Amino acid sequence: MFCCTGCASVYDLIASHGLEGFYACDIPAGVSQRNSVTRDGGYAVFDDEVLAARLIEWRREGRARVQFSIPAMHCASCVWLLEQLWRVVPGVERSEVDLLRRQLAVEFNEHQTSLRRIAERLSALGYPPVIDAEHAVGDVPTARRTLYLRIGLAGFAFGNVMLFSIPRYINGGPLEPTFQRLFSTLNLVFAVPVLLYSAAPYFQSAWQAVRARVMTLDVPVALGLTVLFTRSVADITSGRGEGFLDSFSGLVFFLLIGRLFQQKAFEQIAFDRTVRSFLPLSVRVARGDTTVLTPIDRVVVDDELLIRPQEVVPADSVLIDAAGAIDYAFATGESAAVAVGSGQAVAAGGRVIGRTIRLRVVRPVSQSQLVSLWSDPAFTRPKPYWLADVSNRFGWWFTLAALALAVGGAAWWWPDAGRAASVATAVLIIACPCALTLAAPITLGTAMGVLGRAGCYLKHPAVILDLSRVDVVAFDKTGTLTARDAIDEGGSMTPRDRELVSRLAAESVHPVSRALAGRGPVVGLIHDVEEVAGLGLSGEVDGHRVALGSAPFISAETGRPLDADDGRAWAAVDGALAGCIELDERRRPGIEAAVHALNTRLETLLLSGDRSVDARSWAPLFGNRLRFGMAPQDKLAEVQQLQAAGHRVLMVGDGLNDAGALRAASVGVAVSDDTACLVPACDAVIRGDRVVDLPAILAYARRARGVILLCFALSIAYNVVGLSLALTGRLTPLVTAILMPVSSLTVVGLSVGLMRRAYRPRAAA
Amino acid sequence: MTVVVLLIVAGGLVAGGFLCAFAWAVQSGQFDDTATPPLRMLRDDGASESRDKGVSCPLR
Amino acid sequence: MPPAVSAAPEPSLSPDAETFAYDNAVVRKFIVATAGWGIVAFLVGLTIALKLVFPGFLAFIPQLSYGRLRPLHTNAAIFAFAGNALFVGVYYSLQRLCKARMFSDKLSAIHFWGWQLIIVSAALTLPFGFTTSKEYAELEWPIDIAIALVWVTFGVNLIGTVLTRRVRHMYVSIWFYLATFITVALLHIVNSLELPVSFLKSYSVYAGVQDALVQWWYGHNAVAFFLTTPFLGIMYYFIPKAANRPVFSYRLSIVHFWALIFLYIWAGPHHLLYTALPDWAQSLGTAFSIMLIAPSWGGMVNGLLTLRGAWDRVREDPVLKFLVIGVTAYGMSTFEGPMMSLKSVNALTHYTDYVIGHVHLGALAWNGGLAFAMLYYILPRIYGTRLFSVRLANLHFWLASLGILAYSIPLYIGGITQSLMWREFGADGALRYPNFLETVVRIIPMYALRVVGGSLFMAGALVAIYNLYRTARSGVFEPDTVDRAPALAPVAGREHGWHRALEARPTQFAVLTFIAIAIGGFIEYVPTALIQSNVPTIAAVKPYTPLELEGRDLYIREGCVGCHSQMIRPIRAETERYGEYSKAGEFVYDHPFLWGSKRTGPDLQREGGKYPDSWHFLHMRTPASTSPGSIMPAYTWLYSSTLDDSHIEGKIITLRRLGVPYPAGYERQAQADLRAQAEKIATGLRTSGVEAAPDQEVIALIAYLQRLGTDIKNKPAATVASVEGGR
Repeated sequence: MFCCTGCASVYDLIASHGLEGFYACDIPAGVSQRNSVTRDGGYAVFDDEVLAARLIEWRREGRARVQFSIPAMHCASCVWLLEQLWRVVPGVERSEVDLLRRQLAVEFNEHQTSLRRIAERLSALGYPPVIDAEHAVGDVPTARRTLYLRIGLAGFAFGNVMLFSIPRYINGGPLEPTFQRLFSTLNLVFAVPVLLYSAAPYFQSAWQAVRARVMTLDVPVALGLTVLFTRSVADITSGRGEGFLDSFSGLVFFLLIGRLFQQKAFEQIAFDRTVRSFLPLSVRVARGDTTVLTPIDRVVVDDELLIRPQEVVPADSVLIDAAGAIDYAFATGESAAVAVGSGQAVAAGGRVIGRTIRLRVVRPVSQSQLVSLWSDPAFTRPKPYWLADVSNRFGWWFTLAALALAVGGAAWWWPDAGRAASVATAVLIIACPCALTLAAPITLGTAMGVLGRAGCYLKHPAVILDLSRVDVVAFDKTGTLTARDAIDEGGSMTPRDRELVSRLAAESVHPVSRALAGRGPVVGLIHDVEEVAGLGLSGEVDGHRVALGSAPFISAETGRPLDADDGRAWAAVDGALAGCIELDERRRPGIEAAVHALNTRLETLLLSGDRSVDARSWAPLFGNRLRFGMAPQDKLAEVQQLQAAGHRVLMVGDGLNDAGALRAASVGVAVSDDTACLVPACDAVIRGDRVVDLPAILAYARRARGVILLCFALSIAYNVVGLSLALTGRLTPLVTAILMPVSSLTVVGLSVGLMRRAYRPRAAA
Repeated sequence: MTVVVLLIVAGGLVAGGFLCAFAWAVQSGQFDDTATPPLRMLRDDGASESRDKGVSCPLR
Repeated sequence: MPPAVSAAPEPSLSPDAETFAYDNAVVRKFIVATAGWGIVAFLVGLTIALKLVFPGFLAFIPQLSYGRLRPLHTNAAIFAFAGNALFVGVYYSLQRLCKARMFSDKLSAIHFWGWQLIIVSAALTLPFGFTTSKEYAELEWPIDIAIALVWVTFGVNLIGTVLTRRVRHMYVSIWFYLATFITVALLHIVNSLELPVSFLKSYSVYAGVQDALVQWWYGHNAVAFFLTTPFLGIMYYFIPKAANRPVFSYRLSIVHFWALIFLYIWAGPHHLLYTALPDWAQSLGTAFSIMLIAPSWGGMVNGLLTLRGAWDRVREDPVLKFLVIGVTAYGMSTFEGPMMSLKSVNALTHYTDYVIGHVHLGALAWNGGLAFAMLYYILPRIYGTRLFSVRLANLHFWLASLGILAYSIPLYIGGITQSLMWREFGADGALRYPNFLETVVRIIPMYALRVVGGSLFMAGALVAIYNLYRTARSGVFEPDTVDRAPALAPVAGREHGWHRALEARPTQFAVLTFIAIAIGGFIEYVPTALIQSNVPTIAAVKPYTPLELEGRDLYIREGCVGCHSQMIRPIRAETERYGEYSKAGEFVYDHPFLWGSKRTGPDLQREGGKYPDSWHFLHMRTPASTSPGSIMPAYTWLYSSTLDDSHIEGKIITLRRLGVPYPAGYERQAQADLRAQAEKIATGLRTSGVEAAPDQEVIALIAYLQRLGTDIKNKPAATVASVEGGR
């Protein structure tokens, strides 16, 4: 009946607010909505000034507009309901959904309600807002708007310039002078803004390239455009011809469309995890009896920090409180939490679990073991994308060739200065590598989008080309080839119960709980949590009493005896048995097939952090290419060694304990079972259940490279035709007007057509 | 055929106007989100029309 | 207050939330108008269709003659039926999309009653022969002004509503509505520039070729922006609503809108292929018409794909049925159109009934389909009830579909048949069917079939109206649909607002410069252009004599242009049949041009001197007497009524103002000359044994017909050609 938890869980609440528009049937009104007040749930974070600053778009005379990101929304009803928020939440004045970015903008009266109130109410409605370390309100897609404007202007000019150019072509000769003059002038009027505004990016990047002494393809493009325009102006003003302005505006139009593809691909995956996104941007430092939010780089030795659950410890410190729990997944890779007592050392990078703890800093941030791992050269030096240097080399080659040809052509016709000039310009015009500049972005952009939808998120389109060239694939074991999963025995648990339970579990350090709770930043209305050591924990989540623990613990909870305690964990919601959870670590289904498939083409390698207990079971897959008990640094070293040996390594790991290796490898792919998880720098993130698609992904990447090369070949063919015409001085505006769009269109068509449906992952078992 | 000029000017004025409109629309973020509007309009009927509405999640 | 809202607990109500009501009353008014005028339009159409089969049908009433009713039919269909329908769509959807009541109820009322008044005045003037003879712009100047005013009222109301909307984003339909308003306003004004002679008589300021170009720039865009863009907006609203599915691709809808807007304006000239219009202008029209396929089909595809997965619903829901047939027909005719603008195809189809079939496919299926879909969708909702009978609606659907087929297919066949006969040569190199009448008689059965199709469609419409009436009866009309929404605060407080503006500069700048230059050009060229371009370029071409002028105005009054073209295309079949092809220079004194667009009768460009006066005299009294089997109606009243030459003086003055070189002061002797020439013709007739009086209207008409195309008859084509090249 409902398409999403949102729709389901708001059902009762809506009824009480007379939004029957939402449903056909009549609902008995008066069901009171819950959770209106909480003492200290996860939503306290919304009172945090720093966070607020990130969310608030504008704020004046007591009114404010904030941006929540709400992954849960996705259908017409969600849109409708979220935009009816003013009916439900006191103080909210209006709300607007942006489904594309899963964002909700809320304008509210700060005297009547607060950010936190709204957040709480939203999650009560079933749309819990998540706080994404990356997200900030600033990112209104200004860039895209500008691009739209540029394209719109270019397209508009293109259309009209065509209108005034076609008559000339149809007529075979110049029109009646008055018309010809009028039309040419109008063409100029249309073309100038295209030059000044639409084409601006190309001139800018070309200029930067020149200044940086590198040669990108943008340089010849900019050159071509300039020549195209000036030549046209010259022709028109001197009355020698009608110019190439239709080609000019058309060219810019198509080039910009290529750009749009690129940008769209980027926006589909708002994905750029860096070291900073892993560290907290600022921490609470106790000064006297008040706590101050301090940027981490200003944290000094002996500062007293307050770190809340799920926050990362920014610097090596010692615990002040009596007891706390830290998850060192980052350092060790093993997602088992460690209990620390008063005075014990807490290493940076650990994630606090359960309760907020107080720490005293012993080593400044910069020196801590964590940062020393990150400050490895592998992190600081961004590795160049293959595409980048290829197109650089190609740019040089291309530009020089074009210039040489131009000069040569001019020389050939020399005595006839006018002819020489026109030939030279013609060469530069036709040599403009528009198709080339289109091929890569569109192909890669399309591919990036396709992969993104298939659960493999690339950081940059160019990664695809690097993927297409790897010859060694190195795997991490835990969390990559295997998944540690808390499975719901007998599947008796409703998704909703499961969600409640896992949110409670986030408060606990027990392995089962850790497996139950994702790694993502958990926010929820959780309070009254109490953990009975060795038995289980219980608490109130969204107003439901939830309990999780051993059989006796739960039977006490439900008041109904359970069969013998066999170590499995049980869960209860609101005093009723919800289900039974069992923990198991197993190979991801289909992983063998995947690795075998890889082995046929290239070399695979297993680099695991834990003991070599199950080495034998992996041997059939990796033969002797097994390394166990490797510390993060070892993995890094191993990868660097391979690279040094001339290999191009693809490192696949769960992203924490092999961060160095990931970054050092020519392609680093982090595996993650929930994409919200914070992964240190890497080139791509792949959903855990999609790891088995790696062979397909690599094949797809190789195809992408093939397509690009095909496009290059084609456009070069076009250029040869064009150049031969140009050199013989027979390049008329008409020819250009036909040749250029045709080449651009074929390239666009090929790159999109050949990539759209080409990705065929092996159906995961 | 000088009337062509008249038509060009007339057409040009309209086209220019539309271009302005386009610029405004883009600048004011009209085209930022192309996912929500088509869904939003599905539920734009007045409250008192709600009698014969049914639950529906078109993307289901 | 609806229960839903009152049920809400007080504290949760935002102080800013405003209660307002959608104005259903005006929507209902337009619905009634649509239905009523629809029937009128169909009825008139049926009548003239019958007249082509039985020329004698209602032939004795001048006001009901074919020539006078045809413009009434087109105007009723376009402006009364489709017009009111599009207002239904706009007024219903706009309010809901903007979450706001129409800007001003007063304006709504003025708009509604004003528009109906205009239609009534059209119904009162056209049958009495008050017409400018420019297709879809036949109404005389006072009504033109009224149209402009009412249209602006609509525009103010539309834009006002958009400005006071409570939803920040403007749904794509709104864009289509805005485009409709702006463009139609401009088209109407530019094309209707005319100089009044008297209260109901005026002359177009443009002459001949120029007039033709402006007229078809308007004619084409009237189709584009009055019958297409608003209905696309309607499609983008009602298909998703009826299917309860979001539109297939919203991005596509936006792209397709802007593409359409930037291309459509220029496609006009394709209506003038092979005419005296310069080649490049003709081909330009063709080129852009071809380009238009892309955006048009973008719309169709988007509409149909929205229904993917909902086809089961299409089988049951009459609303969806009509939407589907409408969109499909849109796709067909937007493909057919560009094809017909290809020169070779055009040579075949132009001037034939094929075009009539084409436009009716669009009008009946696309506009009619969407209109009825809307009525079926809206009426039950504003009456808070269900459709009275789905079975009746389905009956309507089948009647309409069959009707459309039974209408278009015969005309397609007939058109092609006739065209092929026109151009068929015998072994001896002479025309196979030199007698035009043969080609007409051959396709009369098709005309008969067309009547059947038309009646089927009309029967369907009647069923629909009964069904809707019963629906209304079964419910309670809700004049206002109450809704609540928070006001739309201006997007303020954006810190980086200013540098956005800065980014926008180049565009704004570009546009402004463009407009500035455009205006400059306007001020510089146009006034001179319009006068100077009316200066004669063929020495032999002289202004019409006063009598010929009166005859020409009779020709206009009787709507002869509805069946007779005055434009011989440079195609052998036509030069063989009619004589020397038409030159631009021959029309410099034609205010307005009378090229026509359809040849139910033969072309008359070179009619002058073909037959003796007596032949015309007899022919127009009883056509069958001179041309057996002719379906031309008898114009008996041209004989009974005497010519009113009281306005000749004003006419001469007006035309001189427009650049026709009547010598200064000529207006004073015009009447004398007129009478003299009439007397001369009358005596000539009497000598040839026909009883004619000089003050009979027919005399003037004969004078005009005998003048047609004679000026250059004995001129070497060379000099003419040179002149033509320059224009």
